[in-house]
Amino acid sequence: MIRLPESMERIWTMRAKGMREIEIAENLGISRQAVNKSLKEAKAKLFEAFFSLAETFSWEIVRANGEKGFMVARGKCGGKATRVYAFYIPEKGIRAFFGNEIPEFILQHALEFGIIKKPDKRELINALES
Amino acid sequence: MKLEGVRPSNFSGIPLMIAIFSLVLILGAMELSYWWMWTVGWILIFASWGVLVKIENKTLVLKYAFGLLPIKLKGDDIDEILILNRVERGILLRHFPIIGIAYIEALVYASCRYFTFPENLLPGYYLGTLGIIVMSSSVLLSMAVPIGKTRHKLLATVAISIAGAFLLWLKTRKAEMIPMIAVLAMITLWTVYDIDNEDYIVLRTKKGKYLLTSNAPRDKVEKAIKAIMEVLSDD
Repeated sequence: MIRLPESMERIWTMRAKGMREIEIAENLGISRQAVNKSLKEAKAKLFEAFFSLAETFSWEIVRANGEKGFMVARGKCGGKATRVYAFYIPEKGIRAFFGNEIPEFILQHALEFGIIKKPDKRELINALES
Repeated sequence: MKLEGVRPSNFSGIPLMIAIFSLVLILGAMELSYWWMWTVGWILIFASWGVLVKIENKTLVLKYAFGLLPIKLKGDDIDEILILNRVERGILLRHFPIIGIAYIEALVYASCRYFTFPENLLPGYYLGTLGIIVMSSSVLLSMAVPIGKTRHKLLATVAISIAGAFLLWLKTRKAEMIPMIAVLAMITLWTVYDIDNEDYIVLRTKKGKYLLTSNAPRDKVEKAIKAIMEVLSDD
């Protein structure tokens, strides 16, 4: 499963959690340009990973977000059409879930990354589906 | 490489500004009877429409103003791709609220005109004003309700058209205007149906959102989406 390189992942995670590029640069003692370059590369790698995953399983892309690291797709499970929600989890890689089988740790992750404001499954699906 | 069957929309950025300005000119021309304003307004409306989308060196080039105004979106500036008609609650106005303001502006203008018109004008005056009311309120409603709820939107358009016919009757008291309202209703129904059955690709960047639309066959839309995905992906 795809993983971003460690330093790139650290920068991407800080940005996804809401830090500004200049704050990340100061925090890590690197230039703002280096942060920007790293973020662009991370985003491209995440897009690539999500699109490859969708292609492998013949899912149809509905939404792909490289900034917060999530994807919504239409897939088939047991012959039935279903939604697929995939998230890039730092240190773990991509995790995908069918329908509304979204576990608690994904809600916490979405909360930390600012995708939702409270750890509620319905709120997460609303945020992803609108 | 040109993306077949896909056009950039005037829902954001400079094209939106041009569209709003042209609307002001057209409404101003109706008010002041200046033909040059009317003509310039319509030329600008056409200029605000996107004509084509192409891909050059990992950059999406959206062409507006008869191909004279290019807007370039670098692949690495795009944070998100969203196929709005595929999400469960895809609402155009949520992503592009300013276009709603343009329609509200037209609706408020036409409503003020309708209520301030005297009773003895030629029926065409009332019909034109009610045309703007019926069209702008139907389109506004269509963009405020999730894509895919076509039946509800068409029913609402029929109700708005009936209300429009009643408002026309209140001013003219003439039954011969009913066929004109029927034609207006048909045009509005077709517009609402068309809005709800297009494919919408939203591209989100730090600078704002851009909308690409298509009413091309599914295979062409899929090909265009794949080409955009390649722009976004790592080499």
